[in-house]
Amino acid sequence: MTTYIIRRLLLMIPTLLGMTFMLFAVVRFAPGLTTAGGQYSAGVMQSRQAQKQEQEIMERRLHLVDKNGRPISLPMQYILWLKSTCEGHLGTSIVYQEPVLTLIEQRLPVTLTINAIAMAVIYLVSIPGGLLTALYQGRLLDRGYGFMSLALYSLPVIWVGSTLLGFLANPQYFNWFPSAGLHATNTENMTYFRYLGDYFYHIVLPIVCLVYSGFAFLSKQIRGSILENLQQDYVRTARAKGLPKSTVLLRHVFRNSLLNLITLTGMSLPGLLSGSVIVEQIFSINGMGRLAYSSTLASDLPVIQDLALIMGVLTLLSYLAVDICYHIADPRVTYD
Amino acid sequence: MGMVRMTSIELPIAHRGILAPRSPLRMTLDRLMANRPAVLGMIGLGLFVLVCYGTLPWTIHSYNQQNLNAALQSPSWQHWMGTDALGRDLLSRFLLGGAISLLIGIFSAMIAVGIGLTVGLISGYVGGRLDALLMRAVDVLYGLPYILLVILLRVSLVNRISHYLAAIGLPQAQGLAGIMVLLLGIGGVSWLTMARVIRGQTMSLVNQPYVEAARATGAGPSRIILHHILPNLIGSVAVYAALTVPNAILAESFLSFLGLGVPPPIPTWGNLAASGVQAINPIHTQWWLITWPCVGLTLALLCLNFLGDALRDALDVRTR
Repeated sequence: MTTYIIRRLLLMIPTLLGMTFMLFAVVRFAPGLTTAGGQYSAGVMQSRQAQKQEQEIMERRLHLVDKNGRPISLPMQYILWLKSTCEGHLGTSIVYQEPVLTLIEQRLPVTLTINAIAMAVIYLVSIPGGLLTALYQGRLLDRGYGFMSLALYSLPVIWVGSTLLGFLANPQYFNWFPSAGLHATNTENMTYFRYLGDYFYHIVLPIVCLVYSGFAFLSKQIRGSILENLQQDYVRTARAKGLPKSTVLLRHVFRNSLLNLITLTGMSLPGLLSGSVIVEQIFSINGMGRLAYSSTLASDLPVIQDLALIMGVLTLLSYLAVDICYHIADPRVTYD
Repeated sequence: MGMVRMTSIELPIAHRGILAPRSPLRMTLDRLMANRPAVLGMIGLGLFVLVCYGTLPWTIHSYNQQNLNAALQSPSWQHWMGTDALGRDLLSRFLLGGAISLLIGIFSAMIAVGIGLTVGLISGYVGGRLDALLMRAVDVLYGLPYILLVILLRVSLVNRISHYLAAIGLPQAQGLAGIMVLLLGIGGVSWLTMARVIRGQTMSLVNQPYVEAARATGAGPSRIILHHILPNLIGSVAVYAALTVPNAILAESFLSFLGLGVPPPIPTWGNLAASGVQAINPIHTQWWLITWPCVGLTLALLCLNFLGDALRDALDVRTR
């Protein structure tokens, strides 16, 4: 197992190199991306001298020019960027004037909690849903659930989000929920539980938007794998030896179907980190998705590069984690 | 034995179609037709196509006709769906938008299938170093956040392409360039899963005895791929393509909402809905601006998803 993990980690290196190269190429080919960032520098009223100096510092930071102000060739720029990233020097945002790492530290927990809660809700509905629809295959429950979940999946999130916001968080109709952000303004006077309550109150609508379209796919997959397992020989054996129906279903069929679930969960892990740009945008939540979006629009080169790179690394690691979990859950699977 | 087969009892049964051999295509179609939501989806989709493309000769002229005296009117007999902030008739924009949205969906799916099938087939058939290289490339693209890729592609390519198109002398160069980059972005990202699935299936098909037999009779790689492997992949390709179309249409609406979709004068359901969302405010509710495009979008997605889902069921070995 250890050798397997080491081999997988080594195999990540070429993939990561490819990722950095791809990122570098796309970012450098975008017109204006490498120069437009300058206009966001901190001071607005600056002498031309100071502006020029700042521009130069920034260009040096991005490895566009060397110490003497001479331009660096593209391949060399790539190597320099790679070198400083490997040494752990992530960039500094041009727009926020803060290290990218700090920005990510602020936003990752926000996105992660919301998405983790949303995922938990999706699983809590989809697992029983998949189980029941498999048991009542072809009956009204199965068809009704299938129809409803697919119908929900077909609703565009921009419509749902803005309608919820327009009707349930609007003084004109129902002022039930707050319309933006994650906290009320007076959080410092709150006790811990009040604070927690306030947080949950704020995330109700975003969670609804993140959740409703997720049932269809997951339920369908669970239903499929349960139906597949129900036809296996070991189920017949278990029934033949007189085990109660519920035991056969929960201890034999369901547990084997969970294997499929590990793969599905692993595939959705990267999405958990990158967040949903749309939902964060609609509900003004400062998460990872919004950061990526706004920094791309503002041509904030260091943030774009490092954010994408970190997400890439996390994605690769989560795929590795899935394979390891799979091995733990099913000892029959070996990786040699 | 021969005598038994010729008995008069079996023939009529065979003629009734119970024992008659049915082709896989026939079986799939039968299962599809037995699925009520799928049939409804097909009918709905047919209606959409008929209405949106049938009215194209009229909508192509009227979609951008402004009449500032008639701005922001609610639905009436004159303007069935009302008018937008520039007094343009929403109905003609809706119809043209539907036509363009469907086109975006279909073309993105075609791009995704084209690249995914080619890469998957080559990777699965050739194997070895090339397979490893191609799959690493897929990993690289998988690892990078999808929305970032689309945005970056857009930022880096739109102006170049629109310059080029304007140089040829095409009208609406900016808009066309926007659509092309959108197709490239959505299609270019959606082929990854397809490539992996096709690769896996190709690898297992290559080891089948009949492929070996074909090779033994002297068939070349192209013949084996085209005549022996490809026909066996049609099922998964169809399912995947059918499910990519609605996803692409949905992706277009996301990107339009973020201001990265098809540029303004050209309507799509996505950017109509997105501009309708911006029209929601507490003082004047112009419900028609958001409701119609979103209803159109939802119904079309519903039809496509039902169809895709039923197709998957019909071709899925597990549920047979």
